[in-house]
Amino acid sequence: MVLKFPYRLAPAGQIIPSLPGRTVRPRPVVPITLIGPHGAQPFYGTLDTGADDTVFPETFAALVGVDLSGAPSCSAQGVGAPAVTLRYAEVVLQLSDGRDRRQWTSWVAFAPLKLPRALLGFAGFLQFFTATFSGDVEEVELEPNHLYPGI
Amino acid sequence: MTAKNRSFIAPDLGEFVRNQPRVIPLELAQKYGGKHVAWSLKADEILAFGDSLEELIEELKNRGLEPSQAVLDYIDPPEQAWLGWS
Repeated sequence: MVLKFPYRLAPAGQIIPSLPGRTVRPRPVVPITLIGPHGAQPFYGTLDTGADDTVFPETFAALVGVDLSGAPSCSAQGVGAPAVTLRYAEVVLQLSDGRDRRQWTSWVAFAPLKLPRALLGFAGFLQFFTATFSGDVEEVELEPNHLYPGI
Repeated sequence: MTAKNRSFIAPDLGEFVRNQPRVIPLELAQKYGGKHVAWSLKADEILAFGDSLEELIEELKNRGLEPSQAVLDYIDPPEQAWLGWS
């Protein structure tokens, strides 16, 4: 079954020059639950086709009981930002659109950054779905593909 | 890690997703813009807020609330566009 998520409409408080006539910015953000060995934490994430990895703030690792000591690591860099070290762990992710629920195990990164939202990038998230971003109706559809490892 | 070896149940976000506001009201964005907030699982109330995730989590705990029983969010400040993570 396809999961559907309408874009969130965030007020800009003014007419947006690049979206003539509009005062809200559509953003593909979805609530997702990060599940570790000792806990679960619902959090919003941004569906980000430009992100190589799925990334959560390091604060969450302790919340759900993920031990990052000795974790595999990699360097990463955001737009206009200095490089940081990402540390990786295997977790469970759970996603619901209010009708259907999906849960799968994947490798995600934890960053020493003050991320406003998780980055739901290719590895660990988008690799498992056929994602259709409909700019006209401002909705994203996620259909599990043959790589999807969950239930 | 599998569901079998867990001793807790992750909250069901079905009701939250059905109830969450698609449009963030301007008044809410003006009040909480730039803050981390914790929504109730019914998406009908902001339980706590903070300038950082760490402050928000501390505030939830100070109120006797489990962070896992809330959906943590960030309210974008009005007039701020995003280009990528930094």
